[in-house]
Amino acid sequence: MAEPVSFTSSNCRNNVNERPSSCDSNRNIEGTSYANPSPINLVTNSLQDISRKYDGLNFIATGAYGTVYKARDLLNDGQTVALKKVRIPLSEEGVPMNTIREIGLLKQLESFEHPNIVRLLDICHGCYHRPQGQLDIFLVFEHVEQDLANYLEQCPSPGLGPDIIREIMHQLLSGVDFLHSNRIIHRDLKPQNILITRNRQVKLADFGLSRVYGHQILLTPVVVTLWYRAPEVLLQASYAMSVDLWSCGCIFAELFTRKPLFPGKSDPDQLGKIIDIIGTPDETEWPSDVSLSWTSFRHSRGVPFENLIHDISPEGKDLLHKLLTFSPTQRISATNALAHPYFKECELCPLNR
Amino acid sequence: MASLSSNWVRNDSSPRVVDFKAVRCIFESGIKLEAKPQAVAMAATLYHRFFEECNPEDYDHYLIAATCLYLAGKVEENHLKIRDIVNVFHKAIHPKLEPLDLAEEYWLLRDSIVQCELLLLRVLKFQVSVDHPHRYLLHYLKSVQDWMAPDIIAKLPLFRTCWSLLCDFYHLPSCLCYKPQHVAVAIIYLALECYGVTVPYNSDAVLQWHEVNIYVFYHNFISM
Repeated sequence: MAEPVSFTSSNCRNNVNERPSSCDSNRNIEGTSYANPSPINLVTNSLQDISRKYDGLNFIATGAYGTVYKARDLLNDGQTVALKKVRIPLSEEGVPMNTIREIGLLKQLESFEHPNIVRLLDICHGCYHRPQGQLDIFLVFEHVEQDLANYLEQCPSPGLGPDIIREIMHQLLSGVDFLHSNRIIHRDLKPQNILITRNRQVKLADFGLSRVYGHQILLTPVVVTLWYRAPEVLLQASYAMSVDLWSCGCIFAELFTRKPLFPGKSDPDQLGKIIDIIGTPDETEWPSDVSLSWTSFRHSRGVPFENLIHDISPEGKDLLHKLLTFSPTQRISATNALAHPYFKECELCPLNR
Repeated sequence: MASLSSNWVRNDSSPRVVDFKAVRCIFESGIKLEAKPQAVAMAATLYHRFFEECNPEDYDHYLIAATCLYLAGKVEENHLKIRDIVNVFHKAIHPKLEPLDLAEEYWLLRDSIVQCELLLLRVLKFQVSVDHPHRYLLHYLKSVQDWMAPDIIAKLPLFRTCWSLLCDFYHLPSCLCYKPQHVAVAIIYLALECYGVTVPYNSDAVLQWHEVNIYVFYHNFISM
């Protein structure tokens, strides 16, 4: 065996071949140190092990993107945090470029501390699964008890008042606008990943990692909901930021009625439900090169929104129309939606923060 | 193997010299591999940040430097082949040696870079996005250029000098201490001083040119 693995010094023992297969990832790297074997506490001082920092990993849920745990942060007065486990593949080339870029971007976003974005507190490393060449990474987020789906479920009749709906929508769109101005498309906005605190502060979660999770999503049996998918996504045409605004539109309607606007069961069924309500789009708006053709849906004149949502104001209806526009290029942007007359009164009623 | 054991890195005097040599290796390799300037600057930044956290005595600086360049290539979407990095670094450190064979030593070095990349990411806590001074420098230079007489600008290698100063600045850890905007302004200031050139009417102005620049920048920034 060739002795030196470092570029220069040979007096240090490089035990690359003695890589321990244990789960302790600190030692894992330690075993492959390139220069003088460094004392273990050197690394552990700057990088804490997940089990040392967080106590009581309780399983919360298995989402489409992996497992979420709830834990206590031992270094911060035992506050509750949500740990999201992401398994990333390590090839001969090391960590994939997308993973590095997207996690770096999340860290960058965090420095802005936007009020409508869930806080990313830390990133920890977990086990290295040597046979599969996979590394577990834990993303540590603040833990918010409730999501919008629960919130709507528990809301007593007759539902949320118009002011609360306006306030939630304003925060939701502010969060989306922030992501979009940082060139992030959420791609999967839905009530389950919109968190809402006790002070009714809205926080978006689960964004920006769709490509990091990308390879896992095909492997999970969890059904991904279609209800908030924009038509261009269902048609597998090219899509952009505007897919998130479609989801916002669906959620906007749901805030009034407390039930999903388009509860589709499959891609064609979902599109059919959309067309039943918003009406058949112009044939020129139908994307080219998609498997489902314009003619495969029966013609619909659409249903006026006020028939579905009785207590919507004229401005609210106009905004909903602009959000649920079939053509992605015609759909309103988050910035313009925030400037919509519907939110005019919003500034008069300051949010309780 | 004997030649690899030349231990001149550790025998060198101060850690600053070691840093300087390692970063110079990054620049040399970056140029040979035709990496983007941002990727090379990123590599140098990662290198200094790593040694801010870790004891310099514990690591092989050249291995860290090579890994930084590899990681920076990924961060800046300027993918550099790990094989090229191994070879170019080997040549930069041992100019007199034959290139590495595709033998065990090569594979070990390559494997070490992959492992070291994980170490880097962990030490840096995945914080790998950096706002570089390069684009600020370019914008500021354009504005300064418009203020000055065309014949002065044509005569002076102002852009080249600024660029070289910026590259040199990355050789020491102090490049981590300043905002990218400030670095850019300071470099233009220094370059103008070097050539003894002043920005027209600067002495009559209420604000110095560089103050204006910062002021304009902040003003734009706040109004955003």
